[in-house]
Amino acid sequence: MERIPYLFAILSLLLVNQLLAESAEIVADFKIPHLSPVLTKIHIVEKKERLHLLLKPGEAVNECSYDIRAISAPQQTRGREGAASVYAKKCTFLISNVSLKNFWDEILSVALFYHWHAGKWEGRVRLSSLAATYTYPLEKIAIK
Amino acid sequence: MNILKTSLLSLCLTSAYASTNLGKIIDVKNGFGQLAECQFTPEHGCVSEDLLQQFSHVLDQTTTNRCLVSQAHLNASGVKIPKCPTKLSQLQGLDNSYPTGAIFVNYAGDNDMFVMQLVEAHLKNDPNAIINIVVYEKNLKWLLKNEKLTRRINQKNINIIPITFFPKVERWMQDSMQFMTVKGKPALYQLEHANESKTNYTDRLTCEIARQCNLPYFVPEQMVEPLNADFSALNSGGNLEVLPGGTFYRGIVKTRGFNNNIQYNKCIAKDESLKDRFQNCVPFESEYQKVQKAALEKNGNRVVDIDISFLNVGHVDEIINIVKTAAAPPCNFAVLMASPNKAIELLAKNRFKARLNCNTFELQAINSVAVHRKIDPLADEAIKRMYDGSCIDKFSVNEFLMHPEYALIRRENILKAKPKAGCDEDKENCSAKNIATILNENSEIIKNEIRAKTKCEEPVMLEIPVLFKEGSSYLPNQVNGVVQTNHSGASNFIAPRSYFKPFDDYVEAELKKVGVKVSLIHDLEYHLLQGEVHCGTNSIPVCDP
Repeated sequence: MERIPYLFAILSLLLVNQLLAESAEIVADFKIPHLSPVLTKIHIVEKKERLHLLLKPGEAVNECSYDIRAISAPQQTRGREGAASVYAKKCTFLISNVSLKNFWDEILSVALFYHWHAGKWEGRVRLSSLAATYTYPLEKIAIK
Repeated sequence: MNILKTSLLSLCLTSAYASTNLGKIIDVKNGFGQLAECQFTPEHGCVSEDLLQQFSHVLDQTTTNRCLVSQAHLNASGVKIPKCPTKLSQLQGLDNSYPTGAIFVNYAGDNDMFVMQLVEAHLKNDPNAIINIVVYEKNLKWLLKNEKLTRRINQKNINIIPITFFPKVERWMQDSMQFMTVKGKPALYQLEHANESKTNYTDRLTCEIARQCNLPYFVPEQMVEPLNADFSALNSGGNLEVLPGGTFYRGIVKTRGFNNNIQYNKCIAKDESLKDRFQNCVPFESEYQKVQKAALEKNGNRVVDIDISFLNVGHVDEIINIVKTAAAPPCNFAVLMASPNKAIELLAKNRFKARLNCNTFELQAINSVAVHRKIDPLADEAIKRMYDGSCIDKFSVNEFLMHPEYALIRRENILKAKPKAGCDEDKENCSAKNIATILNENSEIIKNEIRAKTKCEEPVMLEIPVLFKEGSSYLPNQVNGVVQTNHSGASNFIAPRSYFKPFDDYVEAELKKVGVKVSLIHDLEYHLLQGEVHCGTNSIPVCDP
């Protein structure tokens, strides 16, 4: 019987952890028109103040390990644009389109900017390599 | 004859009353009108008893409806108040070298440490200064729960501005309004902040401040045109500042390729096959900025535009500030300019100073602690260790300089690869123009304007170390501080702590050389939302009529 409070405490802790773990999720679609007509999808999940970023550039799913530089959580964007800026540590892309694969291999940082306008989220993505920075409008962005 | 009379009457009515769904603009003069609903009257200017009861039991020493330092205090402080601009009946701007009549900050529920440190720095510099704390009614409970903060602010210098509606500009006190002067007294100019666009004037923060502070409230008359509610970030108060000599300076998009400004991006034709799709977009100013310029010029003000193309938020207060120095007139001020070159020079000088592992000092994590612990001092011990290690964010300087992320920063700030053959500078942002070049061009515009409008031939230009990444400052941006000018002669500069010792030391030392005292405060919760101290505050400059 005396174990019940401990069990309750552990369950509570797990519940709190779960709540903290999934505080924000951003899914954004955009096109890199000079390389591919297919939408690229970025999926960011904020977990315990860390971002996990999942890229789907065209036909393949690629998981990357990213370091966060900055994120302003969606609920905090009032008055300024929201921003999620991450730095790629190590990524392996399985993309058959060679130009697209080369492009992503060179990208070192990804930054999303988003704001609420006319009843929906709008935004843009900035992709930076050592040679250049590319900015594309987001076709779609969903923030949960 | 009757027809003529009727036409004249309609003309007069049109020029005197500009009706809009957002509010009725009356008494239009020189391009600006006023709103009766935003003027002080006892019934809607005074704080209601209901509202007062929510906080007066704890904050029993604070005031309401007393937003500005009294003339008697100013006289008693010994401050020499400069004369107002000569065109007394027109709306004019005052720069930071005029004495500060009061500052404004918004308590947003999670910025306790910021408010605490701002109040402390401000009162330390001038114990009789007035600080206005704007509080949304629903945030009052969070404020009252923080005993340490309420104890500190419970005094007669603190004026509470409680508001019953959520301020759409959130914590950004700089963005909704510009303090001006008319007939020798402070006045408020309602700006068109993106989040307040298409909102009734009576539901905007500036109107409420005008009512509670009994300040005249002005709106450009053409704001009745729906086109001007263009939701641009360029319309904010942080993007309208005043130079010594009275000229307004603002930021517009002058350089192609950065593509940071939303409205500029919309201007670019979507058809990528069009060679000249960018042609008519640069220089780009927002629709509202055109109205703003016309109204300011009708009041005899000059307006100069500088380049903010590389900035994400896009405000001039991210790259330039003005402080009053201890020097004799006419050059008794200094222009603070953001300088990537200075930042890189300081990094190189401090390359081998790190003595510990900097992993634990990530700014994002430090901010979480600050927000979570409210005003508990994460501060002294952690900052000291971070400073001792010369950590820059979570890196030692040497690690940072070797990191590819620094190579990206360096390219954008000072290098920029030369365009490759066939490179589309708009699409790939590979123009040879780097951020430092743009800042140098801005610096020349500012210097020339000051020379033209004052008797100061060689204005002091001070480099403030700032590195830009993704359109904003990598560390808390120390140009973006609030300037407090009082009886000491020179300004006090309340700036964000960069959490990187070489930058903090440099800024303090350089400003000290010109007689300006620096107070560094914690503003990470602002920095991580793309703003800093200046963006989160506003101040009323005063002049002698």
